[in-house]
Amino acid sequence: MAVVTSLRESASLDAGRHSDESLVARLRDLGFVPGARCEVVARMWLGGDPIAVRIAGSTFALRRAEAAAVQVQMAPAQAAGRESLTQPGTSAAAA
Amino acid sequence: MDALVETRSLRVALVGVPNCGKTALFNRLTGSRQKVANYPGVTVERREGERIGDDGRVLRVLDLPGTYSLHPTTLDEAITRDVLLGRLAGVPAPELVVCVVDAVHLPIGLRLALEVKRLGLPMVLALNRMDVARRRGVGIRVEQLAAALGVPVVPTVAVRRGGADALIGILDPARWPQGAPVAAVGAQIGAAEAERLQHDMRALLAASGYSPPRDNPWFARIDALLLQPFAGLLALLAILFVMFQAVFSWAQAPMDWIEAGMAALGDLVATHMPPGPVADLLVQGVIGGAGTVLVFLPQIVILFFFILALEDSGYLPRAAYLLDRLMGFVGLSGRAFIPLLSSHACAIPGIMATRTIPNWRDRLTTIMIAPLMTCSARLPVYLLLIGALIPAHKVGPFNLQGLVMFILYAIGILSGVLVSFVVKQFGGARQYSPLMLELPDYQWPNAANLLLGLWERVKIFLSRVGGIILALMIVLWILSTWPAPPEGATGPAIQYSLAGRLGAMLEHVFAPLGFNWQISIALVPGLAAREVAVGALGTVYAMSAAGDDLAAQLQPVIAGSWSLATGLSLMAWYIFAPQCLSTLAVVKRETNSWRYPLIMAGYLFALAYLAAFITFRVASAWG
Amino acid sequence: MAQLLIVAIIGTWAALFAAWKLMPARSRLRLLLALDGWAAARPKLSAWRTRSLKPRIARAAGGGCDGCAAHDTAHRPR
Repeated sequence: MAVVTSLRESASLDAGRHSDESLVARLRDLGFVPGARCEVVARMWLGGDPIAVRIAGSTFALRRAEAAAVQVQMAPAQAAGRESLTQPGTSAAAA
Repeated sequence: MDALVETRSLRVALVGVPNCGKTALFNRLTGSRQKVANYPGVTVERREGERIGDDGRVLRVLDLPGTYSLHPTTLDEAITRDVLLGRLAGVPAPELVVCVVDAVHLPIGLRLALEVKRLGLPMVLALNRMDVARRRGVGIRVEQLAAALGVPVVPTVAVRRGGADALIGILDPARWPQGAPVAAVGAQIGAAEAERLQHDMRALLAASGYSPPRDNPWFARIDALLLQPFAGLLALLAILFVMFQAVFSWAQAPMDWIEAGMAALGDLVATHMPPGPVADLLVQGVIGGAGTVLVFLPQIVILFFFILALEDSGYLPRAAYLLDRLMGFVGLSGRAFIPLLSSHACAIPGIMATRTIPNWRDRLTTIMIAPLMTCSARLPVYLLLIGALIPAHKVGPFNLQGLVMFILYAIGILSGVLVSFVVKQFGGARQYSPLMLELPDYQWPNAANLLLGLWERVKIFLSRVGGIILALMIVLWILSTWPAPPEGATGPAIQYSLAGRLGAMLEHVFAPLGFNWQISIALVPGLAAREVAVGALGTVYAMSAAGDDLAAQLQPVIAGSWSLATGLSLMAWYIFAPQCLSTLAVVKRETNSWRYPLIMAGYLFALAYLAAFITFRVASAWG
Repeated sequence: MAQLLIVAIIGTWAALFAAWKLMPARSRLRLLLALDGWAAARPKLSAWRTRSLKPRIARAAGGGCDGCAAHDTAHRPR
């Protein structure tokens, strides 16, 4: 379990691949807003692409490139610190 | 007259996020017979229905494509926004908006509701799936929500009879004032605006005493298995495999009944009618031609039973999730899975479903390979050939016939993969587009919806058999009867007819593929619609043999007169050949140019000829 | 001979029907509209025009693919 802290604007997305602000806006529409609790419930293959994220009672399939825009803080029981949803360690612990 | 009707009618639009049960509510409201599906983006078409409201006025209900916000990322979502703003040519802005919100997932729906409300159109909020929400312990105080939002809020249960009655009673814009003036809707939502929306939504949730649903522990357990990479892919493969096995093993008995019935009907007509051209037309053309296609009804019903049940259960987007990476290797998005699976029923709804793919390049690739998926019109042809030429051996636990069917489907899919891979290699740079697909809650398929969906398919199939197929069979019968053979002719009569001569000409083209003149004739009407070829073979063989009652027994005839190589070659031809005028017409419409349907027809014919040629040569060499 | 006549009539009907069904949606609509214009000038046909031709035009104009009943919206409102 982790808590969303912020949505990184396009800077963090793989450079040149996605310059689109609509991605961040859409993530917001889906409920990825600061303060929302989210959890990675499944990941594909070894690297985890795509992943399935549970947030506000719904589940969404996201690719790494999209999930990287979601900054999360791990719940107090786990390691603290601002990290991205896809970084190994944080997300593995969350799942 | 027209003016009077206009004043007594009301344009109502349904808006909601995907998977909120909007389409089910639409069906409940209008009584329209439609498919209810559970994956994002099923509502790609403009769907309109009518019903008489409580006050006698005509409600013209428009079912808008599902969207998460008024800031679109796909063509579908753009349509919803444009209709609401009255920007779409030919579609007047609605006079009343019903915003459908899934009560189980209230926040995500309320967010859209707030955006829509800002447009200033009269609006009602339908809190759908209230029964499930109550069961899962969702707390919503409806009156407080209505007061805080400033629009009427009505609980609905779209899948239950009478579940929308309260909504219909309230659909009257005179009962509440217009909202605030229309807010400007830009292409991008600003951060400040998003912040305000978020703030408003939290306030609403607090005001209505909202408490979120309990997670159903079973969903997590099922997902732990079905979303696990290896187990999940195995499960997907197993589901597809069981589906195709069932198509063969469950359908055998009803198919035998239909076949026996057809034979009896043919005898009845032959014995009770004066012999002559009319009786021949009925027995050979109608019963022998169209009847041969009818036999495949049970198998089509079983296939669609599986597809509809998978759609309804919420599994399909999960399959898209599992396949996203694999499809990414060949340049497709996981989102292409749903259009491509629909294409297994029919390429036309599949091609239309590609509108949910945001990236034009991805969408075009998906459209181009959609006809390679094994549509249900190919089923009768495959079923006939497999039944005639492939023995029903047991191979381990499997039936060899089912196995061959599975292989045919697999070749269709693999060739689609190869084609898109080639496009990826040579098609230039490709812009990235996100997946972001909702994996909805699992649910038991609704029996009423399932039966309705199956009945729809049966109706479509029967109307094709009774309509276009029957008409083409009659034309073909006439073409293959006249001119009559000259005195003292020795060969079968059909060889002297118009169709026979045409077939003889085409035989030169198709001989390298191992096709005989009967197949060549059957391919001509088969160009219009694939399954017609089966009926055509029935007609041609009924007439090329000397008067025997062959119409109902096409399979043994084929088994006796074709080599295995010819049969396999025809199967290979059918995997690729673009024998469906409707598909090409839809591609033309969706891409708005003749270029792509022509490219599609060209490459598919080339592939078909090549594949059939190679198959025939290899199979002949092996004996 | 009478039998041949019946077969000829059925055959002609079948050929027209098949051509109609296989026609691209747009040409079908154009044909219907032309027919509508032609019928408009003939008062005798007005009943047929409102009863049969108008709904057909509405359906043909409403989109959906040709030849595929899946997208037929011919259901009467309740």
